[in-house]
Amino acid sequence: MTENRKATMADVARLAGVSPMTVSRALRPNTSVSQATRDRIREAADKIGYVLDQTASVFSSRRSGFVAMTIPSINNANFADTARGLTEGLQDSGLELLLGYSDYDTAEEERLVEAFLRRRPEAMVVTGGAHTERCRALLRGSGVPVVETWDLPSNPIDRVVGFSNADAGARMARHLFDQGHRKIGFIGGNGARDTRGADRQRGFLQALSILGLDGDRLITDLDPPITMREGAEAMDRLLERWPDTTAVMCVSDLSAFGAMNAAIRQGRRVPEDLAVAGFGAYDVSEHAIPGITTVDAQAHRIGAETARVILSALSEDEVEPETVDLKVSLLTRRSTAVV
Amino acid sequence: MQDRKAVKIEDVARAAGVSIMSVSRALRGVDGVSEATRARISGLADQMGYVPSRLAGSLAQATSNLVAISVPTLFDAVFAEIIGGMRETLLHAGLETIIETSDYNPDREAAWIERMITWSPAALVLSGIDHAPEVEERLRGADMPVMELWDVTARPIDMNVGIDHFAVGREMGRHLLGLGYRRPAFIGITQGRDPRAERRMQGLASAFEQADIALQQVRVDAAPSFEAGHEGATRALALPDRPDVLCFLNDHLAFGGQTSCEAAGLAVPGDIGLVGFNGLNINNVLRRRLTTTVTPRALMGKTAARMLVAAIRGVRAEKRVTMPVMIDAGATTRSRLTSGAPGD
Repeated sequence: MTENRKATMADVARLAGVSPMTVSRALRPNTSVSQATRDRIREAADKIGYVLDQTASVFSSRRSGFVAMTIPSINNANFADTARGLTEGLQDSGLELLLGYSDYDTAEEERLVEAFLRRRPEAMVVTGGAHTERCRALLRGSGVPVVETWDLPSNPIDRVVGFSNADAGARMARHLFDQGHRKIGFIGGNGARDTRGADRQRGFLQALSILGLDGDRLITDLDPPITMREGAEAMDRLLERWPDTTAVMCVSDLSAFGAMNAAIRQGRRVPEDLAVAGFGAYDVSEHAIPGITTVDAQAHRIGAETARVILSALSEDEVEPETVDLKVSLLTRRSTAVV
Repeated sequence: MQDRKAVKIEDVARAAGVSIMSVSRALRGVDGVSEATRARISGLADQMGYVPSRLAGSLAQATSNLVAISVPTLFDAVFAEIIGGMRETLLHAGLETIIETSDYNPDREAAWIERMITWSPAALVLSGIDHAPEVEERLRGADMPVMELWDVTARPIDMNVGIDHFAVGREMGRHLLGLGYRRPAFIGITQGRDPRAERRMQGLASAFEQADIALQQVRVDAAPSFEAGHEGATRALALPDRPDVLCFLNDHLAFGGQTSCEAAGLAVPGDIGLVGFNGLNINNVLRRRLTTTVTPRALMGKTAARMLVAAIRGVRAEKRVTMPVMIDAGATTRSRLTSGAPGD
C-alpha cells in the first residue's frame, strides 16, 4: 500500500470480505447489517485509515475549504501565535482554519482528528510528533497533506514544520553554564502528556551531563500545562530541597514567572542570588521585573511556514514532503545576567 | 421500534439503580449528581432509547457529536478557562469541541456559522451577545441549541450564561468610592472592540457619577495585553488631573500598569491604586496581589455545558443564568482605615 494514496470504500470492502454496498449500508444506522459484520468493517476501516463518513454528500469531490489543526491547549499564547500565523498565511487562498484542542491527551487528539477527517479538510495540522497508532493511521490514510508542528519527529507522518525541543533545552543549559552556574535545577512536567516539554528536559539534562554537572535538582512531577502557581510551588520545593541552587530553567515562561516570584518572595534576589530562565518568549517574560531569559521558538513563523507548506502541497505540481527546521534563538534578559 | 412500549424514566432509574430524581437531574444537566453518574445515566438512557416525554416523537436525532465554539481570540485566558470548564461535562456526554477564532470580526463569525450550520453540530457556542443581526436571525430560525457565553442579555438567541458586566463595574466603583478614591481613570483598548469592557466602564462611570465624579479614560490602540496596560498607565500618569486609582480592562493590563508605576517610582497603593478584572491565574503569583473582581470562568463553563447537554438530549430547563462575581480586595488599593476623610 502506498502511504499517501487515499483509502477508499472499495479497499475497506476488500479487506472486510464484503461488497462495497454492504460497507455503504453499514455506515448508515438502522440498516440490515449484522453487528458482527459492522464490527469487521469498522476494524478493516481502522486498519487502513479509512474514516467512516457520516453523510454521503461528503463523498463528493467538492472542496471543503477548510484546514483543521489540533493544539494541546487553547490557553497558551504560543499555540495561539501559531494558529494566527497559519490563519494569516491561508487567508489569500480562501482557506479557513478550524481548531480542536486535545488537552495534552493523544486519545483525545485521535477523536478530534477523526471528527475533522469526516468533514474532509483540505489539510490537517497537528502539534507534536507523538500520536496514537490509530491516529497515525488515520492521518496517513487521509489523502490530504498532514503537517506535524512544534517538533522534529524522527518518524514523520508527512510534512513537518518545527524545531528541536531537545536543542532548546541544551542551549539554555549551556547559557546558564556560561554565566558561571554549576548548581542548576529544572522545573517541568511529567513527560507522558507533554512530550515536547520532556524533550526540552532531556536535552537540558544531556547538556548538563556533557558539561560534567549533576542533573538531579529536578521538580518534574507536575501535570502539564504547568501554571504560574504550580511554577511558584515547584520553586519553593526545589529551594527547600537544594537550597544552594544558583540557577533554574523552567519548562515554560509561565512557570518561570511563578517560580521567579516565589524565589523573590522568599527573599532571594534575581539574578544576584538565583538565575531563572524559561521557554517560549511569552509576553510575561518581557514585562516581568526583572525580564526573564527565554528561548524564542518563533511560534508565529511556525504557523506561517505551515501555511506555505500546505499551499505548496495543494498546488498542482508534485511536491516532495518537506521538513522545515526552524532553529530556536536565545533571548537573554536580566534574570540570568552576571552581576 | 414504534411497536415497542416507550421507555419511561422509572425504567432508566431502575436500570441505573438510582432515584427518578437523579435521572431527571442527570438529564437536565443540573447539580446534585457527579459527572461520572451523569455520564452513566445518560449512557443508559441513550442505550435504552429513553426520550423525555415532553419531546417524545418529535426529537430529531442529533447527526453529529460536535459542539462548535466561536471565541474572539485565543490570546485570552478567559475564554480558554470557560471552555476548559465545559470540557469534562461535554466529554462525559461523548461530545467533541471544535473552535474558531473570529479575531473580533463579526463577518468571520457569520461565515463560520454558515459553515457550521451545514455540518449540523450538536450545539453552537458563541462568545458574548453582540453578533451580526443576520446571525441572530439565522440562528433563531435554526433548530439547534445555541449558547451565548460570558455576557448576559434579556433576549438571548437561545440559552445564555454569563455575568452582568455593567453591575460588575458599578460594584467596583462603589467599592473604590468607599475607600476614598476620588480621581478614577479607566484604561482600556480602542472603544468598541471589547463590548463587555465598555459595559464595565459604563458601570464604573455610573457609580462615580452618583458622587458627582467624572471617570477619565485612556484608550490604547492595541490588543488587550501587558503592553497595552503599560502604555495606558504611562499615559494616565501624565494626565493633567493625575488619577488616584487606575481601573484596567483586565488583570493583564493591570500587571503591565504595575510595572510602569514601579518604573515611574510611584508607590502602590500609597501613591496610586490599581484595579484589575477577572482574578486571573497571574494574580496568584504576583508579589503584590491585585485588587480585582473575580469571575467564575470554570464554573460558568460547567454550567453552560450542562445546559447544552440537557438541550441536546431534548430537555430544556433554564435558559438564562447570571453568575455571581466577587470583589477581591488585594494589596494594590488602600485599605479602609487609611481612606480619605469623608467629604474630601
